[in-house]
Amino acid sequence: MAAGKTYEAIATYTLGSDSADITFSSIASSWTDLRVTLVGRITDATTSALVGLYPNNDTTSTHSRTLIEADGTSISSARTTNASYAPIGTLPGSSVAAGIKHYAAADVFSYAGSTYKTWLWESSGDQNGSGAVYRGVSLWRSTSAITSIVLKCPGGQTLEAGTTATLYGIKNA
Amino acid sequence: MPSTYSLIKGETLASSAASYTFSAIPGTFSDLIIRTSIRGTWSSWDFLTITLNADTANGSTIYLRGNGSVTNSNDSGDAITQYFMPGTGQTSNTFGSCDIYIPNYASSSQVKQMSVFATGENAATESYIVAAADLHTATAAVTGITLTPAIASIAAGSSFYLYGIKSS
Repeated sequence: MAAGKTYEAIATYTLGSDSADITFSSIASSWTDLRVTLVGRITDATTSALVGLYPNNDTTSTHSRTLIEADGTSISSARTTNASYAPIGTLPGSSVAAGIKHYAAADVFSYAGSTYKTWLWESSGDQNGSGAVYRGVSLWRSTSAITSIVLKCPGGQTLEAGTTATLYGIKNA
Repeated sequence: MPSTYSLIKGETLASSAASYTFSAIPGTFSDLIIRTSIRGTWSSWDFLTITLNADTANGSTIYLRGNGSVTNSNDSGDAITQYFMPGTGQTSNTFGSCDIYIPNYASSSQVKQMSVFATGENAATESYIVAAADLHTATAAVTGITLTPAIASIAAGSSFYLYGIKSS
């Protein structure tokens, strides 16, 4: 039996200029799960903003999430239902010292199947005296296979040049 | 075609050690991930410190921690300190786990934002789970990573695996 790759890099994008989003399109159905990683900043004058993971660029109210957040002082948990997006994490803005980027990642399970789609996500955003850690789970109530993923800020913020996103495919056999 | 996920080094300790170091890390990957199964020689929980390039001056951490009854969060400006690893006073034959993900480790112009997830479940009334963001504020490419207990040593049987991940 020919050995196939278990963990395969599908595509990676590093923004050459500021952009509203990063899009992975034409995702083949040949893997079992997907993993998306994101490292970067936004251009807006803020400390951080959420970045959404939009399967098939769907912005209908079919997304929900539960998360836990810690900022070095307090811990909180939140749940949002019937939302137009679910997050992958946060990115820092221009109010944060230059050079500091956040890291976020999402594991999307059975993305090509005909059941609702779940992903686990993590966001690491230490800003050297501020910032936050997130862990969360998101649900997209759609039975459609995921054939594209758009990463963009639901608040309309702009992804900064140099922001990198990578998509990996994972096979279970 | 090069592999996306490659083992750089793996080792299981035959005897206890004061620390564990991955050295001479090649710069040919996009990201790194360390996976450990670890126990300490202290009589109780010890703290595992993560140091990049032997630099103890440029680290900070934010963590979320729970022990089965209490949660807390802290923001430390000191060298990156994590993760309670079980010691001789915890359930025998039980090792904790710690995953450390370092994106863009080979960059010589970016500070390094790391993601840590660590667990120390030992079927007792006190166990730990930690999720952390660690920032290494120096820009040098990472060529060495050291894991050091704050109090005692790393026990024999602990294992350490360093993987390189290529994004293309």
